[in-house]
Parts: sequence; structure tokens; C-alpha cells
Amino acid sequence: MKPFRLKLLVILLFFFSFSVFVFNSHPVSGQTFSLSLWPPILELMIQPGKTITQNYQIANLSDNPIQITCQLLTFAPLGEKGNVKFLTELPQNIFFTLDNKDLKMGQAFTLDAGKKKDVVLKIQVSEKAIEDDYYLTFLFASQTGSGITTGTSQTGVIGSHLLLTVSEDGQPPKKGEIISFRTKKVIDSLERPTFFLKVMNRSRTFFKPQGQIQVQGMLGQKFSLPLRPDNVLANSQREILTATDSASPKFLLGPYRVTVEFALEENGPTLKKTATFFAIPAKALIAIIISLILLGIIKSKEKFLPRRRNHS
Amino acid sequence: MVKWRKFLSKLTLTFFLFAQIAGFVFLFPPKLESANLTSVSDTISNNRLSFRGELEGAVAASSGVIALDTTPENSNNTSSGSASLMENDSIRVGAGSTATVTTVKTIENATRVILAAGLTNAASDADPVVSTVSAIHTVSLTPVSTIPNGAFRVLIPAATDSMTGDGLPDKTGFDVVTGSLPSVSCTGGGAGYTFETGTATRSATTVSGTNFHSFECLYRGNGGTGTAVIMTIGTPSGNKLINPAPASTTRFPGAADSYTFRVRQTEGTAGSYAVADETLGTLGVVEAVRVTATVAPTLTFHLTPLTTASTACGVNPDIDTTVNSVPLGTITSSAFTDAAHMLVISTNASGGYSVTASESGALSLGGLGTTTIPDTTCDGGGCTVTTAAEWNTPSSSTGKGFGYALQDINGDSVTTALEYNNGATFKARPFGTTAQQIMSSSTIAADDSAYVCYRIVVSGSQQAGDYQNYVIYIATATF
Repeated sequence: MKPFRLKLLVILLFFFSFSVFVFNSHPVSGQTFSLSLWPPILELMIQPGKTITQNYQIANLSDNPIQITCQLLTFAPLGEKGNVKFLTELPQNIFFTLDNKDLKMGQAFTLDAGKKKDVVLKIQVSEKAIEDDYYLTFLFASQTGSGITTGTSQTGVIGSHLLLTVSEDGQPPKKGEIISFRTKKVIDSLERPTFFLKVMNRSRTFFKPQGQIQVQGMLGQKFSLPLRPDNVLANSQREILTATDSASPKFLLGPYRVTVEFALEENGPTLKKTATFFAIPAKALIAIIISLILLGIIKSKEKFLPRRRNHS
Repeated sequence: MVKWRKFLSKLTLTFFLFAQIAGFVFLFPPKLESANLTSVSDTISNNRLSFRGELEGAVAASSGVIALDTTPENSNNTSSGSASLMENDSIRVGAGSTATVTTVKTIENATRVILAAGLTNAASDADPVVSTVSAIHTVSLTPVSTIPNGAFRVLIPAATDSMTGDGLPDKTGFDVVTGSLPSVSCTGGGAGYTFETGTATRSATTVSGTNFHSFECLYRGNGGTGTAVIMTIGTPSGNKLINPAPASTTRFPGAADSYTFRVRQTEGTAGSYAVADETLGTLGVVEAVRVTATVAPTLTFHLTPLTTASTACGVNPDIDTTVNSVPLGTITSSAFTDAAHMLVISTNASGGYSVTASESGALSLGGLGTTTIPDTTCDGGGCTVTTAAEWNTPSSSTGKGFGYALQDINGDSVTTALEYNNGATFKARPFGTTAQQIMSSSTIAADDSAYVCYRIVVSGSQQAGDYQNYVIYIATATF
């Protein structure tokens, strides 16, 4: 009997493993689109009247050649999490061309499977260009499908954002404001506190907040969370995240004072705001209370249960 | 017996004479002209070479990018390219009073350096670029002679007299700034030494053809031996000696340039300071070894077609897609036609990524944009390009049209409210001509993937013909 059960178990295990592989697979057609782009984002500061070139590397990681065209679009920030809304108008007095001999903007080129290509973007800023920020995306688009009757053609596009600051003195003024800084007023002692920080950029050039959130308890407990230096674009709001929360202790107790402080640039003016929260061991207290109640019930039942007689 | 007595007397006399002579010798020993001080060392707080190179090409005022010459024209500028510079080094670019002092922000490559601030004034080709490295010298020595009221003197090699004192690093020795010489202090040696405030003298003496700066501590007392004396030249917040620039542009990278220093104990506190003891030591100054490791951020986007054998958004597609098309074929008014693509995105950019989708317009007859298959508004008209809603009734009059649903596969990249099974069977929305975010992450992502599930159903009165449009997926890093 035992060998039969063992065989059955082995067969079932084998069947289960096979099923997992089958159900987790993604049946796909032969060709794929897979592009890689470097750099994914570029920050540049340039004087009016100057020219700069930047090398972009596009790689075809798919197993078939891809027809690619390059295009530039301007964008505006969308929402508060670093997303964009593409616009069609290109900035005035700034000229974008490709510095490759064999390539022009908008002209398709074939990138063979597994190959890379350096695409050199030349940016010429006219003397007349206004000192301001210009936000663009350098897009590499695959050619759309053709030859279909009814259906949709797909275009895969990969893009690199370009944050361009035109400045004569290289030190454009930066002005920001903390729109909101808050946290949950009461948290459980075992919970990690979360903070919501929204910053408004009231200047014409983007900045990265450089600072931290410092948490201090009434009993002297202290920890800090560095702010992630995300870009807050000109005249826009951005939710700022902390770089890591690994510094927060696993158990918090009592009242805490939270201070966020950051500079808009190195050695620049700082912005500061405070908030408070209270940590109570609610979950632990509930667990203790439930345990005590259960213990009480068990004790009271034991009292009323008849004792087992010894039949020996 | 008499002979034995005479022998003893002679022996006693001999011993007495020997003792007399020995006593004189030991009580009044001849003075040694020179001996070696022991345990001599000069520990410098920073043994990096200073940088003294020159510009390759002119640089306009306000520009924050400079190129450094690998073969400088001026023979005193011996630093080649950017090899021994490091980020955050203080740097002086330009000649004389028009020079700009700033810091190194980034070293892009072997010659190109990005400065923290643009130049105040324009700089010309071959103008000097200087980054000095200063260090505190801690000289240790153990006296071997007891010399009352003397001095300890340390000689540090310098360039020729005319070259020193300008604060610019020299290729043949350490430099100081005239009028801002480093302070000197001495301690130790035991009870026989009471040190006075030390002194520093630029280009004080020449020994065997080499010019030296001199650093000296006079002391009062009987002196003593065996206990180390420590001389400190410079202070952390005060003036220091400036390390030399590379000895030549053709030096072997990583090899130290050696300089011989001299440590002396001299007699007297005034006058000629006759050298009693002297020891030579060697100082090694080496170029900075810049170790950098850069993980270049990249963004990778895959678009993979799916076949009818797959399951996406809870349904089996009715048609195979290709990498760049969804050939919907013959569509009906009584049942949905489903198809799907898989999107996969990876980035090591710290801000994460965003994938948006948009369409050129509604599916239109011949792609002309006139007669169209509408974009769906889902069952009961509940969905828009920004809001998803249940769309699972092909007969629903509001649900006729073209739309899509999303399924998270890996990485939680699709907003929960937009997932196909979030409180529904097939939660969908139409594409819009304005790009809508379909996947995102606020941090680095490895193979975040999602299905885009296309669905179409037409009304019975839809004009026959071939309808086309195109859908664009744009993957970008979050700014």
C-alpha cells in the first residue's frame, strides 16, 4: 500500500509542477519590440548663444530589426508624481538637430537586432532665447504596423526627458514653498509613520529638494529620513518622497515631532515645516485584552466542568 | 714572597692608573661632530600631489565646463588631463587676478571637467588650472645627544627661491604662501626640553644644490636622549605646506614622487646653530587614485504580442497580435473580439518610469477619420479615457466600440482602480487622443509587466469596411 501512495504523490507533484509552468507561461508571437535608451533623463544648463551636443545610445534588444525615427516633443508636468503631458510646440530660438552624418530628425533608420546606435543631439541656443526652463522629451519610435485590414497599428516609443535651463549666469533664482506637510495624527506603535510632502516651485527653473525629515520623540528618540532629490519643475507642484524608510525604528511610543527641512540648492535658502503624531501600542493592547478575556473564559469553564472520574 | 708583594703592588698601580685615565675619559668625553637622530619620520596628513595643469582651449565667461591639456605648454604645469583631480576639489581656473576659484563638480572623462560654478571671467588656452593639496607635517625624531639649550630644525625641500612663496604648487618641492607661513610647534623629548614657539622660514637654506624651507623649534633646558620629540608644521584650520605638483607630465601613474627632508638637532639658541645631529628621511607624494564606478541609468521597454493560447485580463484572445499591430479581422455585433499585448519595462533610474497610451483617433473607415467605430463608454456608459468601468455586455448599446483593459502581471505597475478585475469582470476604458498613463513606478523597476487587453464590439448598423487607427505607447523615465 505504501509504495502505491508514494508513487501517487510523485505523480501528483509532477503534475502540479507541470501545471504551474503551463499556466504561468505567456504564449507570444515571434517578433517583439524591445528598445533600451541611455540616458533616460538629462539635465542641462546652457547660456544663450551656446551650442551643446549630447550622445544618446539606443539599443535594439529584440530579435528582429526595428525601424526607428527620432522626434522631440515638449512636455509639461502632469499631476504631482513626475508624469508628463506632451505638447507639440517646440521652444522658440532653440534649435535641435542630429549631429549624425547619416541621420536627420524624423528620418527612419533601421537598427538591427542586438545592435546599438549613438544618436547625437545638437542643441543650439540662440542669443535671443529667453532665460527660462524648457522641458522636452527625445523620442525614439518604432514604425507602425502596416498591411492590416481592420485593426490598430501599434507604435512603441521610448523617450528620454531633457530638462534644459537657459541661463546667462548659471545661477537662476530658485523659489519654492511647502504646500503641504502632514502625517497621520495617531499611528500604531508597530506601524511605520508615513509623511506627505508637497512642494511648489514658484520660480522659472527646476530644483531638487536637498534635505530630510527629522523625527524626534518626547523621550529623546530620534531618526531621520532623507528626502529623495526629485525634480520640481518650474511653476509646478510635486509630491516628494523619502529616499528610504529603513531608518525608522520598529516600535514607536508616545508623541513625536516631525520636521521637514530642505534647501532648494546647495548652500541655498531652506524651507522648513513641522508636524506631530502620537504612537500608541493599540494592536498590542488589543491582543493582550483578548488574551485575558480568553483566559478568563477558559478558567471559568474549568471551574464548572465535572472532574473526570478514575475508572481504574 | 717579596717578589709576590712587588707583583701585587705593580698590579694595583696599573689598575689605579687605568682607573684614573678611564675616569677622565668618561667624565670628559670628546664631542661628536654629528650622529644620527633615531626614529625619524615625517607623516603628512594628505599625500596627494597638487594639481597644476592648463586649459586646452579658451573658455567663455560663465561656462562651467573646461577641457584640460594632456601635454601642457608651460613646463611648470605638469598635471596631465584630469587624472589626479577629484570631485569637490577646490580649483582655480585662469591667470592672475582674473582667475576663478570654484570646485570640481564632475569629472566627465580624462580631460573634461564640469565646475560647480561658471567662470567669472573668460579664460584663454593654456591658462593655468590649479588645485592645491595642503597637508600638515608631523615630524617625529628621537634625540641621541644631550645638548643643552639647542634647537630642532626640519628642512623640507622647496623649488628654487624665485618659484616659492606664491602658493602655486611646484614640480620640484613643497610650497608655502609668503606671509601665511604654517605655524610650528614642538612637544615631547622629556624633562630636559622646554620648547619655545616654533618658526617657519620660506626658502631658508640650500644644501647640496637643493633649496629648503626651514621649520624650527628652539628649546631651553639640559636636553636629553631617548624620548621622542614631535614637531607639527601647520594646523587643520590654519596654514599648511602645499604638496608638490607632479614632477613631470610623463610620470608613471600611481608612482610616488620622492623628496628628501632633513631633521637636525643644533647647538645654541642663537648664532650659527652648529649642527650636532642630522638624519635624512624621504617623503613620498603620490597622485590621487580616483576610483569610480558608475551604473548608467537606462530605460528598457518591451512590447510583446500574444497569441490566442494565452489568457489575458481573464479572457482568451480571439486573435493573435503582432509586435506592431492588432489585426482585429472580422468583428461582430453579438460578441466581443479580444486581443492583447504584453508590456514590460525596466529602469534603474531612481525616479522610476511612466508608460502612457494614446490613439490617433477612433477606428475609422480606411483610416480616413470620417466614418468611425466609436470608443467604448462601457456598460451603462460608465467609462471615460481616465476612468475605467465594467464592460462585459456585448449587447449593451453604450458598450459598442473599441477599448482596453489592463492586467498587472509583475511589479504592481497598474493603478488598482484601472485593473480589469478591480470589482468587475472586465473593467475597461477607451483610448484617448491625449496620452493616459497605464503603467508607472516611482522607483527603479525590473521587468514590471502588464497586459493591455483590447476589446471591440460593433453595433449592427456599423457600416461595413476596413477600419484602422494606431495606438502609441510611450515609455519614459519619471523626471
